[in-house]
Amino acid sequence: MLEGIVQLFEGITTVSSDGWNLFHIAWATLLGICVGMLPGLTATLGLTLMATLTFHMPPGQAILILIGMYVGAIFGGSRSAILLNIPGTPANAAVALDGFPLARAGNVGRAMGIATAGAVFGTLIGMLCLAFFAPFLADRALDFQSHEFFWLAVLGVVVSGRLTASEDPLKGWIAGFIGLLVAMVGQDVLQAYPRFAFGYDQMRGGFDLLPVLVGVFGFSELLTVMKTPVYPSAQTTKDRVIPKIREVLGYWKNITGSGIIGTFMGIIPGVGEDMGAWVSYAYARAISKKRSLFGKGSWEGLISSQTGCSAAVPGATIPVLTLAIPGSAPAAVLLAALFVHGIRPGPLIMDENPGFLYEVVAMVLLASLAILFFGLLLTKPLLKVLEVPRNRLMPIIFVLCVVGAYAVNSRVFDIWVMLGFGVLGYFMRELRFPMAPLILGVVLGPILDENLRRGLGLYDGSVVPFFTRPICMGLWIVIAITFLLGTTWFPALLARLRDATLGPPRDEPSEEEDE
Amino acid sequence: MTEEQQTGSVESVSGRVRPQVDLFVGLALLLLGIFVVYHSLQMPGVEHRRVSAFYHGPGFVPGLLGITIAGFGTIILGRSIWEGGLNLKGAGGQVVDVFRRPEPRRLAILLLLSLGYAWGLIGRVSFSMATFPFVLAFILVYDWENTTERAQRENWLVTLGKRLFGLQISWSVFRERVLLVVTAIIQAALTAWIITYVFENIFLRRLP
Repeated sequence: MLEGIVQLFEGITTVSSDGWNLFHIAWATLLGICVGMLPGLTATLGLTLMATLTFHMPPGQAILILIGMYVGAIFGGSRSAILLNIPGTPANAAVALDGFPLARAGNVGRAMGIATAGAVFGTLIGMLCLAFFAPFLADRALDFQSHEFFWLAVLGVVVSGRLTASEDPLKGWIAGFIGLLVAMVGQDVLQAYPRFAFGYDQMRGGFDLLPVLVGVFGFSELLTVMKTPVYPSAQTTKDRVIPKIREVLGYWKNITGSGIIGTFMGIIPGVGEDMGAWVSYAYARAISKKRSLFGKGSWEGLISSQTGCSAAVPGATIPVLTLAIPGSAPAAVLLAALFVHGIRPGPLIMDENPGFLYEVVAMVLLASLAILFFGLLLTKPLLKVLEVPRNRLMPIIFVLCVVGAYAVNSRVFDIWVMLGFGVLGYFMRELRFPMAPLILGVVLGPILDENLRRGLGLYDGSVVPFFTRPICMGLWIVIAITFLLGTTWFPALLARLRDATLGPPRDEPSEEEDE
Repeated sequence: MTEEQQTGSVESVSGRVRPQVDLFVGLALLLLGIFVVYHSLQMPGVEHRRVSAFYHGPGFVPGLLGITIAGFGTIILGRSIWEGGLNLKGAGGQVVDVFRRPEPRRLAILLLLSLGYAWGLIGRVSFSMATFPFVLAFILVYDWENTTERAQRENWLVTLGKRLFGLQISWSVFRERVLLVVTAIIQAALTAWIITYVFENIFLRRLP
């Protein structure tokens, strides 16, 4: 514990003592805020493009820039959510619910100030969890072998599919399994057999993650944005932006609760920031004494949703560093960037490179200070970003998508991959398939493939250890429950059993009473 | 015609995807699953490596995934049929209605432009020479229709033109369009030059 605190301070000192680091975190966070603010540009796209630009940089600086972009983009999305009622990134949809009514009622500045406070506190709570929980998880993860990693991959796809497609979990699971299938293209990890290559040399190497990400989160988003009408003009701020400390501290229950919830949602593979915001919003509504204000302009709703989605950012980096499994789509880019820069995340990180984890913590701390500074002091200049004409911006974004896809391996094939997945992603979005499980499937596919076959090989093809090893047992039970709760018949059966044993719930008001 | 049918999109008024659309989604997933299983079975075993276990073969995991996807497809298909997805009466008219709306037209233009850029120009001419016409065409195509609206906005020049010379709105439209073309050329040239310069000289990346 004490050693961890010392390493944490060492990490903070190392990162913050270099002036270049402070310069990089400042511009990367500011750029991230601008990317997040613009509807149609997501945190994932911003990170992906930035990852391709930072290949030649030293690993520490590159990761610092990506963290700044990540934290900034998730925060920046709240600006357009509050001012336009259009979430800049999907993570900020819950922020718009109360942020926009509050802004429309003349509280533009105060709403942005409270959201900034929520984002800073959320990031800091997530950061503390990253500092103290990640080493513990990495230590536990040393017990994971092939069988456990197989179930972990399945768990990621199943839970992510369930939570990101709450209306129709089946579509979430389908998206996840399609992602796993996409990962099967190319040479397999054990026999080097080129699967589904159909004689094309380019296909033998499979689909690189970054072009797929640029397609799914860049090109498909562009298709969606350009199809819809132009967004309305933003409201301007006339009231005070910097909130009073006493006012912010008055929401301490919302901040701590949502911070912990957001971090936890970030840790769950593939679930990420938007679920962090939604679950925090539901929590705030449950504990509030003014529930009727939710959706009409609740300060508690605003601060909770923003705290939740910002806390999920460091939360999502916890499994990236300790298990090499992304907590969200932007975290998948971070994971890919770590591998590109020769950093091996996973259970051994605390043995091989313990200082790196604390350096990441320090990077998150600097990024949260940057959003505090930019969020409160550059409010009016940042509003100009929303005035950039969409028709002028989008062709530049598409050119950057093309360059970003190509820059990874200098292959024109990757541009086609980007286009193909962009079109696939567009139609999947239209048909209400979530994108996060698809990307998680692409990341987890090789892990699932290798560990299932290795696990079977270790016990002469026996599937029994997959169900009887202690951690495996916990994992498959969670998967089974998640699957069953995602069906229509199982919750109905549970309700019927409850009614049969305990009788119908008495406190439910009848329709006449409601009327 | 019900209210749901009148919306003419893939969604019903309740926000869920129509059962008729899901029918085709389920069918496509079922076919994809069968295709994957078929190809997985075609993959060679590993007998030549003196390992006879089926689970070592490269087709084992894709085969399982194919079976799962086919299973999910069957569920979607069954659910769609249960919810009346086989009732395709009037579906043809709805499809035609969808293509009459401006959204598919805007989407088709964007696809045409982006595919033309990525397939037709990239790799055939230098990056900046490919980017310039793409950005120019993009701005002109999407901003052209806005020039009329912008020209109709009262500003001092329009008012002065009307009062002093009796100039009508068409002159303003012309002016807006000339302005659009000039600024689009400038932006396209700057975009092509700046992106090429920044990537090649600052980030030291090769461009296609």
